[in-house]
Amino acid sequence: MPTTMELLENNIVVESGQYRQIVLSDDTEHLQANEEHCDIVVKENASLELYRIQNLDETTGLKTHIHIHQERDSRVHFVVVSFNAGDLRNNITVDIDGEGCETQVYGLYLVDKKQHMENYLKINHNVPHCTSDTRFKGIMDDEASAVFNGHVYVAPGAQKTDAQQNNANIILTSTAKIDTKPFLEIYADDVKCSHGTSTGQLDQEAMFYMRQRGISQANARMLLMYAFAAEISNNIKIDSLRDTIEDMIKRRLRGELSSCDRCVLHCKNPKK
Amino acid sequence: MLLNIKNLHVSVGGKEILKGLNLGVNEGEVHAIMGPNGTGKSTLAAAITGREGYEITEGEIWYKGKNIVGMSPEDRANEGIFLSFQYPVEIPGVSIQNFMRTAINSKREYLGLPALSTIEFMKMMKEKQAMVEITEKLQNRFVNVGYSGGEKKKNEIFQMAMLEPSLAILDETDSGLDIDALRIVANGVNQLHTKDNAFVVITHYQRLLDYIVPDFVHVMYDGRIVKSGGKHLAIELEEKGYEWIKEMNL
Repeated sequence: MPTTMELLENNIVVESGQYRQIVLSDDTEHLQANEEHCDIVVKENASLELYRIQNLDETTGLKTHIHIHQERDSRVHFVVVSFNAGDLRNNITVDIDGEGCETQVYGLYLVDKKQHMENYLKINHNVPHCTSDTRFKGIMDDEASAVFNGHVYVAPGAQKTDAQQNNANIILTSTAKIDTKPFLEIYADDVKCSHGTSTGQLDQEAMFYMRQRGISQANARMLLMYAFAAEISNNIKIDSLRDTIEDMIKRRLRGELSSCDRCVLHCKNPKK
Repeated sequence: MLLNIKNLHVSVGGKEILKGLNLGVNEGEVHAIMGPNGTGKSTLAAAITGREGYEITEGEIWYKGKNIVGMSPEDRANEGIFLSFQYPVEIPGVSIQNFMRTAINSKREYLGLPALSTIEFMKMMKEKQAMVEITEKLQNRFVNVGYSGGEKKKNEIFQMAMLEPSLAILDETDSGLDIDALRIVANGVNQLHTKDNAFVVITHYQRLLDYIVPDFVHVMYDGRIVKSGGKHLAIELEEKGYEWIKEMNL
């Protein structure tokens, strides 16, 4: 049944010393506006692997707020993969509140037609001796648009912070758009921080190299796009989930589910 | 005649690089193309393989009885034209195995043949690797990523062995090779050479031609072939230097 608004709330606590793997996935259809709040506490010396999979109907709007609090010596490994959505915005905030923490946030967004996806990230290094690595990649096709807004904050006194941030995009058409804003805000002087962003078309040298070996233009594009996307999906540590997601990426890049037999990407579990 | 290039004029970005080049290559022959830098040797390779941005303003390229001007790069490749790149391209995330399997099955599809089975393909990989003395497991390595200059060139010859072309163009395959790699590469080429295929070896130096002995040597200067001869021409060129050619054409 069509609904106009739905609000979802999750509160997750990973207790001290525990190791948890959590997969949040949705395939929402016909919900015009969704909002989701997820508040996560990772306690001392705990470890969380979090996977957020978004494959929404093209009419669906969704705003997610994921707020992670990390206590001393905790580890967070978070991968968010967005396949489809009408209008999607992920607000991801990580507050690193204890020393010795590791934080990894990786994202992939595949946007086409008139879809729109935004990722707003805020990594707050509130204390010294922590590392964070943020990598987001996107492929934009047709008239789709996306936003990457990455903000790394290093508080006064948060010395020995190691924060890396990168955003890379492939734009396939002249009408697709990406607005990328990596941003470092640093108030400590003994830190190692870097950010980078790249936006371009598919590598034309690689395209010609493959075509010279007899590979069609369409298949060469597919191989390059998949290789680009797989750099993010490789970070999924649950084998069966990674296989499923990689198959979904392959089908997504083909833009259809039916023509498996001639595809060059050899899925393990092709859908009929 | 396998390849017959007639009065070829090629412009890149509006600048004419090839200015009326003629070249005929028969099956079973090895042709060397020599000449100073910037005379259009690599442009010739790009024009034969159909690279975008190389505009053919005049002339014809006949290959196996067809004028291939306007044919896509992949169709030319599947018709049996292979280029060993001067600078092989790194493709992160694409394994050499998937790359080669896709290439071979593209060619087989083009020729109306069924795809190779995994077992047949793996057997072929192993055989052809041995031909260029690649001992490590290539399967899961990404195309050219992390390879040394010599490994990249060996990998080009390995791909050539896999694809069994009728016309192979070697663009400066000797550049950046030490003497052992040079010997391995040349040995691979010599094993692949039959009476049914032909090689066009583009090189700046005579050194490679000690290992791959050409039937004909052509000297390019300013977008044309200005002198042709037998293998002794390469030796004469090495002795007299390219100044000799330049002076001759003033």
